Amino acid sequence: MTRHDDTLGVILAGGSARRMQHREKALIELDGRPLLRHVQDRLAPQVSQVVISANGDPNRLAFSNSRVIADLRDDRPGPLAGMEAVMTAVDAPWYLFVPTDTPFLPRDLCTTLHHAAGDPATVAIAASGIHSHYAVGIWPRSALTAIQAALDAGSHALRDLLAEHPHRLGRFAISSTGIDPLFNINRPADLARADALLTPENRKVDRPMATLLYFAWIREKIGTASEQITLPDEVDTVAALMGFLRGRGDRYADALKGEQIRVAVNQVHAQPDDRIGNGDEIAIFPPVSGG
Amino acid sequence: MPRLTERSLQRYSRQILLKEVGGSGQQRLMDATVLVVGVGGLGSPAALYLAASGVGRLILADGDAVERSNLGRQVIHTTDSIGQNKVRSAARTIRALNPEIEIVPVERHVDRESLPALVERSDLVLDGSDAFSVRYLANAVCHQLGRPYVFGAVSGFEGQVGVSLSGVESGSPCYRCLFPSVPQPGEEHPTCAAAAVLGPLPGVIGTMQATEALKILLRIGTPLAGALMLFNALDGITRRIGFSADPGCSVCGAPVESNTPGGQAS
Ligand SMILES: [Zn+2]
Repeated sequence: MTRHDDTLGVILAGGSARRMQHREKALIELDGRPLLRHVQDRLAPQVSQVVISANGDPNRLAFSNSRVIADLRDDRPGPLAGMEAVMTAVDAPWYLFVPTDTPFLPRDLCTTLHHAAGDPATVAIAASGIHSHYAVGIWPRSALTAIQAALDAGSHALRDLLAEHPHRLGRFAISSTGIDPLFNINRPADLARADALLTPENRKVDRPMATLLYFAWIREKIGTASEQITLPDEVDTVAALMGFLRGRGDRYADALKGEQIRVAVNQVHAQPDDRIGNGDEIAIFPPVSGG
Repeated sequence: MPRLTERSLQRYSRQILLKEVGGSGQQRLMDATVLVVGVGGLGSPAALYLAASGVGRLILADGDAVERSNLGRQVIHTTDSIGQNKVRSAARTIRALNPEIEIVPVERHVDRESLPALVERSDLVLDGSDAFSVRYLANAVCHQLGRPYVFGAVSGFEGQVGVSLSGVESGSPCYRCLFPSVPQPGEEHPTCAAAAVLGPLPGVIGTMQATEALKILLRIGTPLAGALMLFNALDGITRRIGFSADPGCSVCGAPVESNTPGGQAS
């Protein structure tokens, strides 16, 4: 699984499930966790950072520890308005958009779509079997103009925009266990099916992740305020975590040197040999002195 | 000691309405002396709010003169006080805001020699300085002399605030318990000047420091003792990090003889 530092992961969490008493899809639980969390766990390791496109009170999504970005226009509900808002709020070369109801997103989603796009100006949309999944795709920053033009013209359907906008398809195979990686949940039966498809192995793979928060110049150097990662089993102490993070690249190595850096686990100051694990929130901060 | 007059009852009426404050709490504030170290980005809002809230005596210490580049955030100073000592400038604004309180001006930087006497005269120390050397010094002196110490700091879009009661309550940690190694000059913000800061940030943190100071003087609520509040304004993330006393702390750990850490006031 490759992390694409040039691609922002975006969960389009706007929808509610008409066939499920209009419940908000992001919050519907599968295997005891909200669908948003399942999608986030699949997406986070593949992209620089995950943000959520959603309207209304952002506090209901606070459990995600991800930034929530609301639409800029309230008269055009739908994915295009969400895409416009995110591309306006966060500057990135690429945006990987996914809906919040696809808990089995491929772990090579970002890589495969980049290969399909081929060049830095082309949109690539995911496809499996005979279906194109318009809401799953990578979009270059240059596509923002076309999205704004479509919204200005009164259109809010992705399908209409893509009918005119050049794009390629990235194909994903149905797995040997019968899971369509782009399977999405629209009714109670889908939820039951998804639960059945969660093999013990799948459940284990989708275990909770550790949330990392970076503050002050550590945040500036790493380039993000928070991220979620699955810690390998051997990374089970604060000291091991710092070594693990420094090994993730120059930005991390540079940001995390210096003995004045402090670590808090679940909001309590921790010592190097204190235990950590997936599910913990780990804050890393330096002393600052400006006045 | 000054008593609450009809006029001051009006001035502080909204605060006195709080059942946690009341007339007796307000009297307690009027009887208190707070040392504000540095009247810059943090000290400006802190001193304004302490004055407005009716803390009876403020000792203001700063050796700097007001510069034009201060005015984007040091809201106690005005354009026509450029070139004037910051304490003198601040005293003028405070007198216009609340003539009922007393200002003790100290128009120079605090250092190892001058700080203990100032702390001795105070019930609480609010640190608005911008240098680690002053922070570590003030933390140590407050511990030795048994005064509550309210610290704060800002950089860029972020701020930190907390309280040390190590000299007041046994077992309570000090600033140095959390940050034992003094960052060396240049080690603090490796990229650019630590001076880069969004205008309102020191306002947020300085005002939180004033709030903590009032809570401690009033003996209400839970002070941020043994806690560091982290505030990332850019991403809207706040965390309250708890920490405990370090038995090996060079300031508040096992009793040692004289242990004032070195450092020049900036
Ligand atoms: Zn200590």
